[in-house]
Amino acid sequence: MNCLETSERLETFHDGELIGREMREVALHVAQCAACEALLAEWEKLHGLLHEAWEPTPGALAAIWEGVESEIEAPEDADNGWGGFRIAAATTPLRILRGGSSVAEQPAVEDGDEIWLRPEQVAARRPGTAWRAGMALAASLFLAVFLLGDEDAGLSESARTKPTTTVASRPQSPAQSAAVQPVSLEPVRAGKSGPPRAIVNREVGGFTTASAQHVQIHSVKQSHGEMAMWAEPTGNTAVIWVGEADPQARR
Amino acid sequence: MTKIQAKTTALLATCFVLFVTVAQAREVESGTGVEGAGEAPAVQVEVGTVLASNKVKRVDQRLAGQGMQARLTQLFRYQSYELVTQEAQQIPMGQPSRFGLPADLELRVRAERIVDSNQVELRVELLEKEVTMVDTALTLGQQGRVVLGGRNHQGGVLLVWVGARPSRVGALPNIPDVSPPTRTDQALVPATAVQK
Repeated sequence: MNCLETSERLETFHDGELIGREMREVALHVAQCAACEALLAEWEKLHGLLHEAWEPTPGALAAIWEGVESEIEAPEDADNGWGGFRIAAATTPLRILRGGSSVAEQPAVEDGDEIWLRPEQVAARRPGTAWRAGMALAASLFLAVFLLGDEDAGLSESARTKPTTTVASRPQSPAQSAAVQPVSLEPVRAGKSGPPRAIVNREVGGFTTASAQHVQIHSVKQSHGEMAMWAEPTGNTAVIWVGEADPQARR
Repeated sequence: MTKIQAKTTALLATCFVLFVTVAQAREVESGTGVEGAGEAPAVQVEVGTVLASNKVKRVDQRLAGQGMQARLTQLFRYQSYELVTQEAQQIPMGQPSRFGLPADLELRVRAERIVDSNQVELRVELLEKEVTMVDTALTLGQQGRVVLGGRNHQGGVLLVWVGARPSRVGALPNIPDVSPPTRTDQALVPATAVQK
């Protein structure tokens, strides 16, 4: 056995995994060859260092296991995205806003119910009060111009150039984009099981907690799958939970 | 009806519509119809962030001071609630304000008006990297809070609560235990790191 063949077997030889004639040949060559003997010595030294580096210190295994355990328990998207593991208890009967002003309790909703909402197609934005007033003003001015004819040309010209300057419009957020969708206010799931029992006004939407003095949610838009709303028994706090495709399955 | 009468009627109708429009516009600009002249209505808005998880059984005691411990434990069934950030701002009526949150989240709040002198109508937007995740309009009483939840973070879930009460521009904040904002984008700062 030459030096090349011996060096290829030094690791196995050191680990005691060579047997029979092969082991004897390697041992004989190392005993006769200074270079291979030095190589084996270096290998033993390196193995000793590795052994010291991997020697577990007290508590190290426990720390390693904690990390492994957390990885096992944590879902893949533990630090990203929406719709994390939801552990909630809805214990407040919901009250439904109807007509945008009056508050009427929905008797079909029982304690423990919650309302799940699902996004629908982007609906045409409902004109606000100021916008409707502006349109009425513009229409009235147009009617006045039409009726007055050419006799009051100055007024009509003025009306043409500044028809809606007194109408206040609320500025829209720059972040408000088409990605934000109004949710369907028809509940997907209300209650612990069974068919939906709560009906929410589709156009006005929203709900208020047990005491309307504390929280009233008039409208909600979201851009991430489903959402849920519920409240604590006192009605002091309401929750808007975003983005969980199948909440019952993950409960 | 003569031509003059028709023109007069049309002119009166135009004036009436113009009057109503101006009145509505002024009400919108002032933000409230109940405030007196010369006052500068504002809203004290408080925003807090809690990391809820099941790693250990622990509730940050500062949440009890905020009155949030009982609320959260009734709303959720997590084992741990850690206060991450808390910030209060005095917002003039109609002006948007931003609150920095962990995990690249941002809350934009605009006070729309004061209702019955003790309730505040708000527009609240929760954004992640300039993308609006939630956009809601709501009314909060002095004891009312709304919690926006569902964002995964640090092996748990972030719960963002919002509270508001009427105030005046220039008035000193009167919400107790108000802490400066603390951003924790990369790692969760221990609850004790939030200054009071």
